[in-house]
Amino acid sequence: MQRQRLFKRVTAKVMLLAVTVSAFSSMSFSQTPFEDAVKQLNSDLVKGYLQPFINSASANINAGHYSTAQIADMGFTLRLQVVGSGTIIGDAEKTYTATPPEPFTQNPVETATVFGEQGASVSHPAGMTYYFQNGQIKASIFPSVVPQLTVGNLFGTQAVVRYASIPEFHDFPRSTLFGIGAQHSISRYLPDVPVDLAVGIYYNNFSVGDFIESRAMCYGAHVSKSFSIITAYGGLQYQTASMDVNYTYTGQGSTPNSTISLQLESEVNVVATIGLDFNLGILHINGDANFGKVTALSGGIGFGI
Amino acid sequence: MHHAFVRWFLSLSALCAPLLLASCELATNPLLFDGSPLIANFTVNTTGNSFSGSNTINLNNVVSGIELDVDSVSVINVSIIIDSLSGGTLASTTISGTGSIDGHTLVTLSGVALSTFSSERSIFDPSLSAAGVTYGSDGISYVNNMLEHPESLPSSTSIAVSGTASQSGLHFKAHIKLYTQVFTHP
Repeated sequence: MQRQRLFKRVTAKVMLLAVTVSAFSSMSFSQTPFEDAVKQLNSDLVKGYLQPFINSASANINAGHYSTAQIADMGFTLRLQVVGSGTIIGDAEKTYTATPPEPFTQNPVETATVFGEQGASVSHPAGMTYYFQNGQIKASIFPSVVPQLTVGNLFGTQAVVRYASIPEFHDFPRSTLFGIGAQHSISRYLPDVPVDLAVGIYYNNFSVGDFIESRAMCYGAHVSKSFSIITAYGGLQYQTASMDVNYTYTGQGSTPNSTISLQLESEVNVVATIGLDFNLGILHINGDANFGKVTALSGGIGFGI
Repeated sequence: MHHAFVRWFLSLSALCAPLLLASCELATNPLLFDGSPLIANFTVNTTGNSFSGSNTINLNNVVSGIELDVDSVSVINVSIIIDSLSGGTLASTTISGTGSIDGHTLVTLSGVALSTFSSERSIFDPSLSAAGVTYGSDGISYVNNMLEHPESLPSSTSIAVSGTASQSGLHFKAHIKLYTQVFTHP
């Protein structure tokens, strides 16, 4: 009985972890607070309100694909990991500049993003006050987690696959994440270089309900050096992410069924990575930091060879 | 053995939770909504040059469709549209009069052409003051005072218009729209 209770508790924690995969895009129209906050925003405001969220989500989804540049030319690699990422939410991610709607004075004000505190307010001589939407996510680190499978090696190449299909869970609608990529050894062409070199390309797609669909690509150059069971690794990558947001705007001035369709681009493009990997036989543990417009930390625990 | 491995893997995964979920809280601040606009419609059909009418709105409809607990509501805009001119009513016809809510003046018009409101315009538009439109702070205060207590809003609030025109034989429709912002409990 105690073992069953422990398993249930652990499973609940993992479910909570799994939910965070969709937490950064839980914007389907099943009325989560996140959705409610967004649907009040016209297209001019939603970009500023959500941009830090998109930056953080893309930084998370583009992190954690590799933990070494050492790839044997031929051999068998099969590794299952849980990869967690978290973007540090600083002050810059908490505010943006917005213009109030008419009839309020059209002077830009600094107000809260989705990660911010309370929204700004502007007053009108007639005794009216307009309040911008409040922040809805209070986080010092914005997290996500995803399972990842690495397979190889074929001519110095390994493939990486990510997949998570999360059923509707409390306030979060059904979410699906799929990612695929490959890492190819450059050291096989430059065997005299004292460090391991590789390049990688990765694609990720995730969708939540009918509200959001996002696509991310990253292209990277990787380097690593192993010292016994410890591998120091790093890289430089160029990444893009776009997020299609579709919702029915119900704010002031809207007409029935006025749909807003936007494509929002992540501002996180060039990222430098530095990390450490611990190879403990079939257990692999790694952690890295990814520096770009935002800073994302990622770590993985995996099993395999 | 298989179950033990799965449980061990899940346990290790769960160890990440405290790190990944550090200081991450959702829905920490009250949500703001734009309330459903309330519209009072008036149809003017008269052979003379004066008009008047009264309509009722239900302030409770402001929070319709909002499932969260409402803390308060406030007015953020009032607009007017005058359309459906017919029967020889000219767009250049000017009108003078008032729009009020439960007797408290919302807007005063002094020689305002019907065409001024051929498209929806806020009564607070500063460019309208030169056209003879003056908003009524008394009416705004009155509505805001009622909306501060959304739990006890009246189901029937009177919107009235009255005035005279520069032309006899008036045939048009006027619509007064009330926009609000709704504050919910966190």
